[in-house]
Amino acid sequence: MAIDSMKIAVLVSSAPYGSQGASSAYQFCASAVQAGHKIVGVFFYQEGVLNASQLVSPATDEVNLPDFWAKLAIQYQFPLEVCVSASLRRGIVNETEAQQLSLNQFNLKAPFVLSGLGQLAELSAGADKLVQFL
Amino acid sequence: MSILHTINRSPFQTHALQQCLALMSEQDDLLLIEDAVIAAQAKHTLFKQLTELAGQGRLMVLTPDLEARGIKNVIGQACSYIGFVELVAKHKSQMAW
Repeated sequence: MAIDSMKIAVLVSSAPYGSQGASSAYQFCASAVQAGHKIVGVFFYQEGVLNASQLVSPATDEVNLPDFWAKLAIQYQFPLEVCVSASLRRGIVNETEAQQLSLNQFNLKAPFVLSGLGQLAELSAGADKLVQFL
Repeated sequence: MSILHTINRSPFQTHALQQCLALMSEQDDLLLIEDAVIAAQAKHTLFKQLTELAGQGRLMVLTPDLEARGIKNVIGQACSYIGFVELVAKHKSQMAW
């Protein structure tokens, strides 16, 4: 790793399809780790929480952004944190929330985890830079 | 304490570019990404102001987003994602408009 490597936290607030923000964020993260920097975590907020759905199923010759996020996060060992209140509003639910809310299904993709805005504060406090993608 | 400003929407769509230019300080840089790359070619009301910024070496335009739109930047310095990462390293913080 380069001596001048940075710890970067990334905030994503746009959906995987329909706007480019999430795709830009992914490409930024991929380039940052390639350049020897450390992504300390990616926080998904507002429409960005839709990146965490395991039901996203584009045509097989198209980019599956949730899959790309999952692979990059596992390879470079950084957390994918998803705002829980933004998620529940948009139908992104994990097993625990599904039980609590008496829902029959859950759809949060691994290794995304539901968390709160406090975690965003923690991520940015532990990082040299916070980069936001709208 | 310098800031990297990023804009991702066209100046024909929102006032983000206009508002950003009004608030940038002298040590800040501006990076145009996504639909904002059109601002580096099209003749719009802010083009003169943007040209001045480019003349000071403070305007960057993301190459993959130019290529995806078939646009060549008339002003500003073309910049890869690695260049984007370097700009983040250079500045104290980033602001997305």
